[in-house]
Amino acid sequence: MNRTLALFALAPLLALPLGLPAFAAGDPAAGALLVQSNGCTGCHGANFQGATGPKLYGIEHQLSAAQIADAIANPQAPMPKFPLDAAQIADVVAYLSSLDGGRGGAGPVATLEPAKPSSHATLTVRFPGTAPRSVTAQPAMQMGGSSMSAAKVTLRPTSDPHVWQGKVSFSMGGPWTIDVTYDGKHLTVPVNVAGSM
Amino acid sequence: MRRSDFMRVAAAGISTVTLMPRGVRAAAGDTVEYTLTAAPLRFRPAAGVESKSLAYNGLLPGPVLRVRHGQRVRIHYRNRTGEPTTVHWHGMILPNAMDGAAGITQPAVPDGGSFLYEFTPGPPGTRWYHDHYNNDATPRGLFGMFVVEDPVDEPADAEFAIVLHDVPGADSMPAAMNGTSGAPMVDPLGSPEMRQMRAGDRMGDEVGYVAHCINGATYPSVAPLAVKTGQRVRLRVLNANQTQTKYLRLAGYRLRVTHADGNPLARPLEVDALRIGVGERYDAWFEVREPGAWLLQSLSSDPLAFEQAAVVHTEGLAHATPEASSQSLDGVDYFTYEKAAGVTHAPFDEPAAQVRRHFVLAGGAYGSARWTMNGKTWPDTEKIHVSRDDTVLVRFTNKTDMDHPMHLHGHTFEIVEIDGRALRRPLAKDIALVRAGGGTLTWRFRANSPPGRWLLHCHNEIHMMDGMMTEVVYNRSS
Repeated sequence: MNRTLALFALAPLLALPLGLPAFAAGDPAAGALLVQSNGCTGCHGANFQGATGPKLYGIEHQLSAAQIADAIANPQAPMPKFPLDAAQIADVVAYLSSLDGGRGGAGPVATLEPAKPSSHATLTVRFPGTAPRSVTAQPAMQMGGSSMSAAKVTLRPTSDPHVWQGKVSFSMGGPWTIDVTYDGKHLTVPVNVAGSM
Repeated sequence: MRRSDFMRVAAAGISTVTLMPRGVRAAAGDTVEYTLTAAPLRFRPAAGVESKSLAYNGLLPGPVLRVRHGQRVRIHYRNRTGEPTTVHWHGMILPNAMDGAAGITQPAVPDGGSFLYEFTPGPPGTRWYHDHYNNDATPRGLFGMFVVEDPVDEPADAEFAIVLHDVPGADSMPAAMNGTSGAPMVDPLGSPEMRQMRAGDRMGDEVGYVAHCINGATYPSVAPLAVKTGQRVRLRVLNANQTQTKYLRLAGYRLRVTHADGNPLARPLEVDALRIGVGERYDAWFEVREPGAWLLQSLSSDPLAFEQAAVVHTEGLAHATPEASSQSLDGVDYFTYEKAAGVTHAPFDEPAAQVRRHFVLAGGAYGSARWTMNGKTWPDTEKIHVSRDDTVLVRFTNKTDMDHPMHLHGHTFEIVEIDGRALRRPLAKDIALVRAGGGTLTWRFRANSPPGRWLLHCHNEIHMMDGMMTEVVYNRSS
């Protein structure tokens, strides 16, 4: 396993033909869950900053949604072909495309420090455009049918009113999601609370 | 065949995954000689991961040892690890002095020392071998598969050894022994392990693993399984992870399970995925329907889940994009003892037995270094005294929040009860998971093994080292 694999994996994305069909927009919250249940961050890195597989953070600035979808539907080895239908792929594309706020940087962007936490992490959310009036973060973990929640956290604005911060904790390891609520709107942030110490 | 040839072939078995081909085995009736040398290994299973591991003959996992049933082995064990070790032949019924339980059946082999293990391996089936000094040398790398061929087995067109193991983080085992590891559960979404968790649970006993291997490598470096269309393929699967239950799935295929812990099932069972407790083995078959490439995956919620995967491919498709499964168990039909053996709905009536023992498994609170059997830890646990040909019933009730893979040395037992219900068909095993949160499970076995002291313990390395162990002793006065 080495870095050259990442380059091979990215190559076909840059060589796709034009004239792809119109692409239906997906649901980023559903995409966040699919990203977890399919283990995408294992190869593409925490916060999708790249590892064995290429960096996907900001991918929507390099490829169209249809091109990203095609790279998932027709992957290049060693990336496997996942059991996702077209609607689910659209959800994943919507999620990946929202990581850095999406095209034009219109949406909020969440980051975690450390990116691969074991018990707690500092959640920072940047809101472009209008600064929100209140922000909460609710970590939860899906356990096949049921879900478990950790303490709901109220985020505080930093010296920059567009940047809010709070400390979230995870009562145990596994695949969590953080539901960030701001002025009645939602942002889903998946986080795999991971094992190595 | 000369010994050196034999060892080379056996050692090659694991690196190419394929088990030893026909024609290179020693003839029936021969004595097969092996040399196993245990020594430190700087193990680099994944980018950026280097672990101070141990290995047999420089291989991690150790070489696949393979004999025909009836052949005798003379295994020259040499310990060069820098610490005391032994070798236990898991699943074998053999003279007690050959069982390899340090301090019970033999003194530990000191660093620089040697020991000759000599026995006739059996019963036939997928067995394994590993260290049995009471420390963590097994999870650090001292394990391997041992196949005793069964002359009545249906023939396979291709056969592969699949050994699952994970590399523990440097300080993770001691922290887990103290019950303060903080390492997370990484069982797949939808698994019974995940469902057992409760809000507010503190994770003290999980071991944190830094790499996740099949046959000692991580995806995509795991040696692929090259198959041909139309072939009937047999996988011999061992979970050598010493703390975690594994789920194994082959994308696009169902698996036909024929053997549990090397012992034939009364009726083969077809499933989407295997559920493999610590130390368990399953023989699983599939028939290659068409050209393609598929992932054989161990399912997990760990961010590094995809490391534990191997490509199965037909000719010319070694570099094709493999089909994958979701890492979730939701909606997946996985192997259970109940499905394999069938359960009755009538309450369980204990069958006749000369010896009965009931153990309540407890302990393991956060920050605790005690895992108990009837409130006691090894060596103060109650022993099971038997005399030859006794029928012995051992019932477990698990009051902890983790499953316990309970193992008996030197015997094959039959599971006769799970959670208060009798089983319809015999299920012969040497290790069985007792369900967390009040689960019960009963073994029945005949005390007809060679006399001696046979350990009975939880095979979760942390729980065993923290006291969840007793023994069956052949000395009952009638």
